[in-house]
Amino acid sequence: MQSNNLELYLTLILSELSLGKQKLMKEYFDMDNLRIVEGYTGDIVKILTGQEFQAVKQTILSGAVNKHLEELSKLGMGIITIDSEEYPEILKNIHEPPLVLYYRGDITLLKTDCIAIVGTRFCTRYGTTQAERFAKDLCNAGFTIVSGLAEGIDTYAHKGALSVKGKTIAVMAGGLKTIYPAINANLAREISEQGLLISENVPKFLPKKYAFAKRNRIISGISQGVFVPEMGIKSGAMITLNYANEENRNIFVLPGNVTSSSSAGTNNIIRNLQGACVLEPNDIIKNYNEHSLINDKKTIKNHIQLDIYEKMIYDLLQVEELHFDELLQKTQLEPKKLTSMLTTMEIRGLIKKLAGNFFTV
Amino acid sequence: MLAKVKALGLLGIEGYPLTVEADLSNGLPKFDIVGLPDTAVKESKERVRSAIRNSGLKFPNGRTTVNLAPADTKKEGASYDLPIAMALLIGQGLIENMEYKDYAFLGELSLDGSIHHINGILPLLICARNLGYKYVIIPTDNIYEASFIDGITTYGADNLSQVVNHFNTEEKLIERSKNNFNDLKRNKKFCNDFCYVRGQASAKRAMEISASGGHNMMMIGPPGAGKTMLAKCMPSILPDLTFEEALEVTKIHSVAGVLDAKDGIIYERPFRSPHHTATSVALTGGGPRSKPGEISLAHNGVLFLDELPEYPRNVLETLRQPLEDGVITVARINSTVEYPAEFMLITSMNPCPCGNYGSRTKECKCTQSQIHKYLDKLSGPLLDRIDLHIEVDSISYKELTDKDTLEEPSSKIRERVNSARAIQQKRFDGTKTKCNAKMSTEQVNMFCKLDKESSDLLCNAFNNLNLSARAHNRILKVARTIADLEGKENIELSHLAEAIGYRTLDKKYWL
Repeated sequence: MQSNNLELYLTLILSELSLGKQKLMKEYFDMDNLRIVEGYTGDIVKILTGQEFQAVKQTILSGAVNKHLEELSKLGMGIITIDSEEYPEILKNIHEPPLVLYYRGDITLLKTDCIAIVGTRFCTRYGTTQAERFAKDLCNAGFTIVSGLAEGIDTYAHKGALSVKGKTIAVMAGGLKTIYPAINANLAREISEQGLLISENVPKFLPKKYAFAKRNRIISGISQGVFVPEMGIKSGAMITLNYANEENRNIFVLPGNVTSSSSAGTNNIIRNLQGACVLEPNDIIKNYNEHSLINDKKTIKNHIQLDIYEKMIYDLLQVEELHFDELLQKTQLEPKKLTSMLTTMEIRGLIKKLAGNFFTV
Repeated sequence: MLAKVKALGLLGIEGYPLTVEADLSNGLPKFDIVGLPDTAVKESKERVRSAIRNSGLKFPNGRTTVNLAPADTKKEGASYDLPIAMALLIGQGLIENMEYKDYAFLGELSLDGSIHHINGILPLLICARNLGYKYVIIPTDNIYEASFIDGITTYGADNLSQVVNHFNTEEKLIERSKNNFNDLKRNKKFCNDFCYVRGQASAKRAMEISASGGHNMMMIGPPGAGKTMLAKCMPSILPDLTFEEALEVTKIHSVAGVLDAKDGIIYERPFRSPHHTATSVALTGGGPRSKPGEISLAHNGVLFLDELPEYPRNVLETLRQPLEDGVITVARINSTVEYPAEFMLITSMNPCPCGNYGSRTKECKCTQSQIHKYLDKLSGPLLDRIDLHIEVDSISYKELTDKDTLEEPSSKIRERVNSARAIQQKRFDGTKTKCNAKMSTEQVNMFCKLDKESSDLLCNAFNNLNLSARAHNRILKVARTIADLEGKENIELSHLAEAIGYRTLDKKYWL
């Protein structure tokens, strides 16, 4: 029966019917009785226009579904339907769930506890570092990080998860063959190896503007909650949050600098929505699982010996990230001495150098 | 009657001997110049005719042929006016003193008989000396430039009559006084001095290292951070030129015609900053006369490329080979010339199109792909050839106006740079290498030995910081320079660590 459904869904999708029409067709027809519809008469007139009917008929007659399935197996992609076991319950209950999901990677991730991390593409370093930090900690607490493979926050959320060998799902607006943005092609490959790439569209689908907004319903749909580290007033992440709100998912946002336009959207949410504000990963984790709270306190690893200046630098950097010149002023070291010390500490993995000559622990 | 006069021609930055022959015979008045003259040389017959007449001398009637031998080399410029005029006068028997045979003549004539400045006097005189010529008469305008060449007697002449009188009467030309390069007053005041640059300690340190070892450097930072200002301060800390280096530099500038006659010899390292609209030919040299380009003019000095990604890619790629070899071969239809191009490359760029990526004070509004596109304008091989990458950020108003902190003046930094260079000169005595940055692999192995602790650090650095393998030798060279700055015999751990710290772009945290 399942393969029959798959055939029906693919027929509808390949005939390029809208989601609403797909849903109606699914209620009134199965593949067998769709195949025997002779002409544009009867029930089908109520659902489809003449043109749409012709498209469906053409799809059936040309055997496009079988060709499509062959192509998929050649590309190494999988497909599940809304009736499949792998399809998560949580997604079925949203408004207009996708009938099929194309995937590449570990499909079982869909049924794990997912937290979406999305946000602006025009992010600041604050946003990217926080996205990475939350992604890492949430992964360590056992969550799967869901995001949209877009530039900016999305990219860093995925990268954060991958860096701790965590699980991550990228929900793409385009097909699995048309990675957008192209710059993230490598990231997409890594995710397909270590996590999961999904899309509701056929592999060669070029993402159009509307597809990104529609895709966001899946991001919030498969997640328990949506976390936004940084977002401006007019951000696409707002759409995800609207879906999350409609589908009763938790909304978490990170407060930002009130003067930063990249945080204007998140700050606005904090003003209007009680309980949305989170300051550390534990604020999210405690909503789901009290036991997996993580110890966020950073402590010097005891076995590493630090001399007096290294300790001073380390302590200074624990408070905030500092520029080279600020460190110079605070430690009163010579520039050459400081450069060599910072490099040694970086090589030992104690501190990290950031773009713009900034340092952090 | 046939007359022969010695002169000198210029091919690239080397001079070659040339004979001006004049044959005067009876016949209808006619004046020809043969021997591949260019337009300026052909026109010299008009100048010579007027100059001779206006000096109160006789221009030959009848049939006159002037040949510039060797006849198969293209002759350019106006420096043959004086020898042609002399050949014509000698041919008429107007110069009785046979001493002229020991003389070579150089100079451009004006219609009234006065002698004008010519380009390339230094290589010409060096060639004359090497050929064993005893005397050379050159324009007075060039006399200061010529005063640094030993082993040849040079006279400066203001006009044609003086030259004729020199041979025919007791009114001799004045022999030029000799100048000693080392006595030259190096009191040139630099308008950009590091004492005016506030903050930017790490950038200043990197520039000190760069100047000491001749390392290429790149500054990355938001607009207004002071990258250009820092670069402009660079000449004030560059090490002194040696006489040989100064000669090389002056030769090139003399040939290119950009030498200031007042200065005579260039005793400061050149600092060239071509605009980013420069073509590849402007940079490498070329044109119909195969003139030296900016990279050759920056020989033994600094080539500063501001806003590096704005330069067309094909222009930047032309730098790769000269950066390795230190010479550029300019092949053009008329001649193929090799110019030296051992320059230090200093570049500056913004980290992204808006310029604020990684800034303390401003927000960056660029997308990742915009930043990628911007940085992709620079090819990896070019970046590989840059040893020091430093990030410069704008400083706060407080730092800018803080009157208490006194910045170190350039003169002090220059002292350190000079002593580091002295160590290098001693080390590379007898080899072609001039500074640490130009060490060959063999020399790196010989002079950049690491102790156990240091090689462990370098090994760790490669594993933890994602350094590219090509960075290895460059790090060692920079570490060698840092050790030289401290006067240390061996490279120590701190030197190596600092050198690694300057390989910002190799680490992948940039994006």
